[in-house]
Amino acid sequence: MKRRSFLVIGLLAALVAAFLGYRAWNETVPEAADHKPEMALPAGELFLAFQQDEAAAGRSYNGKLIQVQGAVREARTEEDGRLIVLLETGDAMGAVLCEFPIGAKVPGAGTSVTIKGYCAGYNFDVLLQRCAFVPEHR
Amino acid sequence: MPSARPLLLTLMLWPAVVAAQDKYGSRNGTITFFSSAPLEDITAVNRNAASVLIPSTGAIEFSVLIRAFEFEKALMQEHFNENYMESAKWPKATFKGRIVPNAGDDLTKQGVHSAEVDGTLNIHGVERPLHTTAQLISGPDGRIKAGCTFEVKPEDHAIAIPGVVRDKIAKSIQVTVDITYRKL
Repeated sequence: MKRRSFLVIGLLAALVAAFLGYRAWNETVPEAADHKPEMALPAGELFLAFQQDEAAAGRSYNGKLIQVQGAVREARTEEDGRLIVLLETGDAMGAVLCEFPIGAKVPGAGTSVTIKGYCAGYNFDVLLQRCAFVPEHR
Repeated sequence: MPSARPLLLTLMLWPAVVAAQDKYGSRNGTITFFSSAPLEDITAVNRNAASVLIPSTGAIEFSVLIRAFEFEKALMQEHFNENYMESAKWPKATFKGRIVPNAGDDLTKQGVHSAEVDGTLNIHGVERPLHTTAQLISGPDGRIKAGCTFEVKPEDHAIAIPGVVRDKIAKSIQVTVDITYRKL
């Protein structure tokens, strides 16, 4: 009887482990819309941090969900439907480039927006991926 | 890791320095990699490759953020960045080289061109020579579309694959480049 109980518990544990493993393996990459940002700062400040010390800024921001606020320099929809928003940084040669999933609403140029996204690093622009707009609280 | 910055910076940030040479650039090139594996094929895409091309000299450079490669599955992306590519330590891959069209061919002339590409590929802080063939299409709008495919072996760039999954990951990864340059 005792041996049977151990077998049942072992089998249940194996089933739970298999389920959790399967779920973890199939989990999709997180979107910013579903999560709270780890930090918030102006777009120009984020860009400046990478310009001044790319390695240090990378340690602080890369891979993290960051919220930035700034004015829209340019917004365009790519052929595949992704929205790209460039935020002003005070430097004409670089921007905070925010990539949105398909279907995001295009903001007007000059509009002040708050965006959260996962920071991938600096490659002439600071890149935020899988972004979402953060509604303004009035 | 040696940076691709010198030429890219010179060309993209200080245009007057090379005003005499026509230069083409892009910050949204697409790099895709594909690996066939017994359990599941692995594919990832990066749509933010920065590159500069000077058709008159054939000079070409790429700079690619490793973290900008996007996978369908979170676990694959996490393992790629943390276990294999160590993107916190080596945040970028670069290529610096020369594109050589057929004798007498002008890459900016409207039409389809084939060219040899030779240079140095730096991934994971390890430089390796790279040779491939590229196809370029120069359009009526002045843009140049370029594409090529090549193979990269993780072991050539000191990318350690744990023994447990070594047999489940292809020995070489197919990399595809697709980029549209516009005149700077």
